[in-house]
This record gives sequence, structure tokens and C-alpha cells, in this order.
Amino acid sequence: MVTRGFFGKGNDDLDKKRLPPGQYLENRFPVLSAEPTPDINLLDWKLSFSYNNEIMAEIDWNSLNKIKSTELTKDIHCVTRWTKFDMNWRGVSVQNIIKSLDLEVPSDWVMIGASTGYTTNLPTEDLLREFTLIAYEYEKKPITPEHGGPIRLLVPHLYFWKSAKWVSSISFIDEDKPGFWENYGYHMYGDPWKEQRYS
Amino acid sequence: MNQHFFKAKISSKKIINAELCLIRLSVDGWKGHIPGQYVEICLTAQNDYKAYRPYSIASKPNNKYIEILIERIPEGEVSTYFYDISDIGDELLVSKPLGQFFILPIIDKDVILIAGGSGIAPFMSMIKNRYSNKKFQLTLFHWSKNFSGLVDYDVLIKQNEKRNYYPYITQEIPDKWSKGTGRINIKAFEKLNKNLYHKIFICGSDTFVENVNGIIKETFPHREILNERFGDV
Ligand SMILES: Cc1cc2nc3c(=O)[nH]c(=O)nc-3n(C[C@H](O)[C@H](O)[C@H](O)COP(=O)(O)OP(=O)(O)OC[C@H]3O[C@@H](n4cnc5c(N)ncnc54)[C@H](O)[C@@H]3O)c2cc1C
Repeated sequence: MVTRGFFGKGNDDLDKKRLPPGQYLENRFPVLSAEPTPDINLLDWKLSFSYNNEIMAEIDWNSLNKIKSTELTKDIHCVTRWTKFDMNWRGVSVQNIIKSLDLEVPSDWVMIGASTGYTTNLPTEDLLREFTLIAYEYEKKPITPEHGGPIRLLVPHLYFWKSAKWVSSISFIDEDKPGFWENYGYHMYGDPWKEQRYS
Repeated sequence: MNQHFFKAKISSKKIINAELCLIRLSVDGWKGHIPGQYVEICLTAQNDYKAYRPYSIASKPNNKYIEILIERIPEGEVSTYFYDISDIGDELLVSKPLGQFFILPIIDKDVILIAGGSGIAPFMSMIKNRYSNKKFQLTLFHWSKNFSGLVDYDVLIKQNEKRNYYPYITQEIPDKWSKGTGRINIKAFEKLNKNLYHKIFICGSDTFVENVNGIIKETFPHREILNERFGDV
């Protein structure tokens, strides 16, 4: 079925292989959050790792800043259908944090938490991928509060709601559970290339 | 594609002002929605290129049609199609109703709705759905650039006996205008009983929602605040 009179902007010179199905190219950086932006001081920020309600370790900005950081440029895909090419981030990979804290990974799933109460679930395997970062810079500048600053999670290979803003906790869980948006009908995993938007 | 789309036809189009239009779509097999939900609209070009955008449902729940309020974004791919080109009879695709967070299924407590510009869309659905239950209050604040952008002003003013409609004009203020003027400001909420409301819905551009959040947090510190952001200005 064709919509009469609609031609689209064409996107002809666009590298279509870079756009997952159903996405369109966005040049700006839209804000997606369900709640008000919190005001977090970098020096008060902490990230905890826990299992069975017990804290295994905590890390603050000073210690995070001492771990080798990663800079990466990735295309980011949002479930609301925008894709933004070549977004530049800096942060420390969760992999490296776990190594530096000398933690043993106790389970196959995690629930990510933010200081706003936001949650989202991930397989531990995805948490430990090379490019899953605890990020603090976007385009070489501190991440602004509305985009999850001072520190957010970045899981570039999944839809962007998995990249929890204002990340504050990583809880290992024995069985997969839905987080905030997953409870409201979003997909449990969220692979943009398989178009896993809604469950 | 793992998503079901309904076939739909434009059955009416109303130009509201230089930026806004209201489109009614008759949707085959539609089963209704919960006020606050949105749909994804899919437009298909002759070469099969497809564009998808989310739009809030502005109409009252029913099983025949939906209405969407479109703000024309200069050079916007989909909004300019609707505003400039679309016509009655045009065919397009509509997703099932989406969003299970920014919704108001039943109204059993007083809530506040705060809209910037076309951000009034989901609230139009909530307000129209409310008529059967007048025990509880929906209090609407609407900030608009001009008078014509205060969609449904006449209807809302008529029902305003309980003082639950607060229109504001920020730019083109008419001569005899006696209601609110100026940008969103903490003063707007001073007269409200802070303990009455249990949820606050905010909808509009990213910048608008962000501004309101900042103000509301201080005025209603312990209320649940829900955001719907339409995009950047
Ligand atoms: C959940 C949800 C519900 C929405 N409901 C509505 C609705 O009820 N009515 C409505 O009119 N819109 C609504 N929107 C916005 C809508 O989906 C589109 O983003 C908007 O119509 C622009 O699309 P476009 O194709 O015309 O512009 P595009 O071609 O996508 O964009 C052109 C440029 O305009 C910018 N832009 C995108 N959106 C806006 C905006 N809102 N204001 C200013 N600049 C913008 C883009 O960043 C881009 O640079 C909603 C968005 C979301 C996420």
C-alpha cells in the first residue's frame, strides 16, 4: 500500500546497511526519559554491584577515573525509531571495572538501576561486552544531565533504553526479570537488528 | 517486522492554524485505546521507502477511528506530509496503541496535565474520556504561542466551572486576553491545593518538558511526575 503524495526525504545517499529495520536517521540527540532529570554531583556518584541483596563492591568517581578508559564511536538506535550515526563516547568498560574490583560474576542476568528508580535488565554476557561502558563523556564533553550525566550506562548494541541514564547499581540476579520499560511492554532483550521493540 | 499494522484512511483533516492540523484516520479493525497512548504511523513511498513516527492519540477511545494532532515541523518528513499534502482518502498504516506508562485508564484521583503546544494531544483524549466521571478533577495547563494554538479553547472554557483549565499565551497575545500570559512560571501553580493531586502529566517538546520538570519538582515534591517528550525544538 502506497501513501499518495508521500515521497519521503529519500535518504538516497544514505548508507542503508547502517540503518536497522524501521529506523530513520536523526541528526540531533532527542531526550527519552519517563521522569524528571535528577541533579547529581559527580563527587557524590557511586555505582554498586550486588547479589542477593548484598553489596559486593562499590565504586566512586575517583576510583573509576583511575581505570583505563575506552573511547568509542557508535551508531545508536532508539526504540522510538531514531538512529544517530557516529556518536562519540568515553567511559570505562564494565568488563574493566569488574576486573579492577576483582569481582566474580555470580549469575547470568543483571538488573541495572538508576538513582531515579529506573531499572532495566540485561544478560550478564551483554554487560561484559567490550563496548558496554560506564560512560562519562559524550563528544569529548561531560554528559549533560538530561542525557544521563554525569554518568550513564552505554550498551550500544541494544536499543537505547537499555543504556540506563544516571546509573547507580548493577544487581546480579539468578533469573531474568523485566525492568521499567520491559514491564510496560518493551522487549526483554531489545536487539535493533531483529527489531525487538515490544514483547 | 514483528509489529502488526492496521490499514487506515484519512477521513477528515482540519487545519487549526499555521502550524497545527487535526487528522482523523478511520482504522480497519481498530479496537480502541487507553487515553495517553500513542500510535506509530507508517507512510510508504512509491519506491517502498517507509517512514515511521509516533503520534499521540487525541480522540476519545472508540473502535472506528483515531485523531492525531500534528504540529508542522519545518522540513519535517512526516509532519509536512500531513500538514501540506495529505488529503481525505489517503491510505497509510497505523500500529496498535502503544505506551503503557503515560496513560490515564480510569480517573479515580485528581491529576494535573501540563501541555506545551501540540503536547496537548494525549490530554485531549484524557479529557474527552472523562465526561462520564465528574467526581474527580483533571486540571489542565496549556502553554501556547498564540490563541489559535489553544486547541479546544471554547469547549474547555465552557466546562471551566470548577476552575480546571488554565490557558497561557506566550507570544502573540490578543488585545482583550485576560487569561494567562508568559512562559511557564512557578506562579501558575500557586493557587492549587498541593495535597490534592496524585499524578502530574507533562507533555510537549523536550525543552518544554525539561523546564516544567524543574519547576514542578519544587512545587509538588512528592507527586508522581510522568513525562512524554515529542522531540527537540
Ligand atoms: C511518544 C511520542 C508522541 C508524539 N506525539 C506527537 C503528537 O501528538 N503530535 C506531534 O505533532 N508530534 C508528536 N511527536 C513527534 C513526532 O513523532 C515527530 O517527531 C514530529 O512530527 C517530527 O517528525 P517529522 O518527520 O515531521 O520531522 P523529521 O524529518 O523527523 O525531523 C526534522 C527535524 O525536526 C526535529 N524535530 C523532531 N520533532 C520535533 C518537534 N516536536 N519539535 C521541533 N523539532 C522537532 C528533528 O530533530 C529534525 O532535526 C511525538 C513523539 C513521540 C516520541
